[in-house]
Amino acid sequence: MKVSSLSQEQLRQSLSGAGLNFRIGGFVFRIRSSLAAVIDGLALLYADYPLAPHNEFADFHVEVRRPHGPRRWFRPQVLFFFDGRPWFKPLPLKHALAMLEWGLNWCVYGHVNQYLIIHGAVVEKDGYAAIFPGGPGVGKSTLCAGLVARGWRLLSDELVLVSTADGRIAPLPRPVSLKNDSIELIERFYPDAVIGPRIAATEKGTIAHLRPPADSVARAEEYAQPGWVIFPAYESGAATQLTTQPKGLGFMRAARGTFNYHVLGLAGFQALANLIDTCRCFKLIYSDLDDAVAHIARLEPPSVATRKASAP
Amino acid sequence: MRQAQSLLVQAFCEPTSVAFLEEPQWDLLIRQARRADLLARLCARLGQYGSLARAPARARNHLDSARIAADQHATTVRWEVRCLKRALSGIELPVILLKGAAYLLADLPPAQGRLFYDVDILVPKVRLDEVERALRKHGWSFMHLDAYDQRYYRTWMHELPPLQHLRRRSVVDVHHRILPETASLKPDAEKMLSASEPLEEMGGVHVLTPSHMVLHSAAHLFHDGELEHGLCDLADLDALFRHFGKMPSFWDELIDSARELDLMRPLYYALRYTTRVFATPVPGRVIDTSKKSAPRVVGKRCMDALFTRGLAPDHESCNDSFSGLARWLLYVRSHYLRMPLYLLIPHLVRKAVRRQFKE
Amino acid sequence: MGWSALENATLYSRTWGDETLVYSEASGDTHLLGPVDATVLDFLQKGSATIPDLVAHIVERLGIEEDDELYFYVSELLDKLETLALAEHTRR
Repeated sequence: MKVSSLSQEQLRQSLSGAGLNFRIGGFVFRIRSSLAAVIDGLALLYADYPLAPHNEFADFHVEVRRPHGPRRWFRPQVLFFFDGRPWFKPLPLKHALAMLEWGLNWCVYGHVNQYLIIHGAVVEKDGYAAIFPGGPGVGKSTLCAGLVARGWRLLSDELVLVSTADGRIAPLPRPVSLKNDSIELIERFYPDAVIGPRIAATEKGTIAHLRPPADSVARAEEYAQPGWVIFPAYESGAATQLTTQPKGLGFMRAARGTFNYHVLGLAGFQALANLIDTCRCFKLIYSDLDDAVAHIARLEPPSVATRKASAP
Repeated sequence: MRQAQSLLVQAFCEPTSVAFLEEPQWDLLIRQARRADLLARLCARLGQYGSLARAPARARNHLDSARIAADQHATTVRWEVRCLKRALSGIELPVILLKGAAYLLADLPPAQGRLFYDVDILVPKVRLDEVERALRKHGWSFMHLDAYDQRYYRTWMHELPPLQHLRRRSVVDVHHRILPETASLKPDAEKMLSASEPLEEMGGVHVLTPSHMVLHSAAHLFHDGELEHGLCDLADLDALFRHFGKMPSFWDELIDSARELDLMRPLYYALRYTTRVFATPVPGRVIDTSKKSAPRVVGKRCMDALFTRGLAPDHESCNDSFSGLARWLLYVRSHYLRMPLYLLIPHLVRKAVRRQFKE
Repeated sequence: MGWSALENATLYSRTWGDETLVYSEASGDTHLLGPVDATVLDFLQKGSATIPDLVAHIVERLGIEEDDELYFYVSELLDKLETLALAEHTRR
């Protein structure tokens, strides 16, 4: 059963009551909230997501609600609760949907060690994953949205999950978080996109969420082979440059941006080294999204490139 | 409504019983364990009894993830001890480990699946300055503390403030006392120090004797501790009693040491609550002896009401309407036992105000 | 004065061209080394060595000219490896 099969009223009642089990990638999140912005946001952005039965094991129990006390009314705030305990400092009430999204990310990168979890975006085409490590501000979400607009499957815009068992990339498709000018850019670039409400004045500026294509959600259990690691850097006015990234330095950059690199110990070192080994590694400087997407689309997967390199 | 015994405690006491749990119960079990900081220990316990295979796949993932994190904690602590050994070998002082680091390096059961935070060491009071200098020379420095906190540690608690390594960010707590000087009980740290035993596999590193280790843990939980990890600490005591209890001379030594160190009351509580929560096997004569140090009937009922709640996982499924109050009273009690009233009240007010501003 | 790799501290490495990654299981630290540094560390793992031993090995393996600058570099490198807990003075 999908979220879209519930009426708005059913959705509101369930979310305000015992909560609903959302199946997102390989995880089940029990989400509760009686806030209109969150309910509407979930209805729009998670319409295609399957719901799990209430008595199924839920990986994470979360709630977004207003605090008790004076901040419930005066300059109202919102809190993120993880299994009944508040985490993070409160945010203004109008940031409730953004808070839920950030909280869901934290649930995964704070508690899951079956995967090496790199901060970055990842999309897939023809079975190969293109991984874009990087924190806020490098342009990875915009690039991710641009590639999805041109037919790449969305695996994630924030968390790259590399299986420590076999090195494949696990999908965790969630709404892509667009910021500031990117919102308008993607609206133009991707006319069919469904984009949620603009949330102004957050720590990262104005945010809006792009709904993942139904196909990306439907294929959320289909792992991908790692293909490319591309370190993006948006530079206003720059021509697109896609150059080779030396692997040792690439490893260190990726490790710095991996949430659980130290926690995984030797397994983390080996998983990341194997990933860098397997993938073709690049640096990307871009300002024109169309051109950047075209450059990436022309990249050959590792197997083809290796065959060519070793041919006489 | 509080359950008679949480799913978590049931799983600890009877690991094979998890085979009969339905998915919603596994959901609750994992959440209780996570809240009590016992998820990795639960993983180890279930693993020992071959019960991990009974867990649904996603529950198993959470147990394994916690174990992976705990394994890394252990690696970090071993490395820290190695670094401490290097730092203190220059002043020819053995590293005497307390609590978690001791359990780990001595390969004791409470180390399995444990999450370690700081490393605690015990040093002779007369050598405190030397130790401070040696650690600072090797890259540790005092964490950023305001003047009040510095005074709290140095003047009132008579301890060094915690030291953090500049590069590794790990923290070492240097103790020269078992309980603060202002506490009502006065166990002699020098006795514990001089009786400490060297580790076979690692020269220059010592741990306390079995009975001292137990008494230190009991004093920390029932006299000094804020009960944030109450059930964890109680599980430590249960594991230590079971492990050392197999040694024929242990129980008598325990009673003798408790008398010598003025720690009979914390030992009474340790025995009372480990037997009640974990059904720890303790010889009857030992229980009877410890009962002589019990509080009077009213006090006993009161402490039971407080500790039964305070030692349960702090999770909505395990709390009742008095749990919040019980935890607060135990928190105040732990401070009351540490410092006189004229210091306690302003200290509590200050802590409450600070917490308010942090939010 | 002799040097060796740290006792009871297994190292894992991965090399791509001139870059060598080294992971120390004991400390949990990861380091990126160039060819000279990696050659020195690799040699120390096989047994203890003096600075002249290491210089001779580098000259033979990498074809670098033996001069005062190389001796100085190796001496500084050993201090750096000691700080990184990858090498230590051997106890005599």
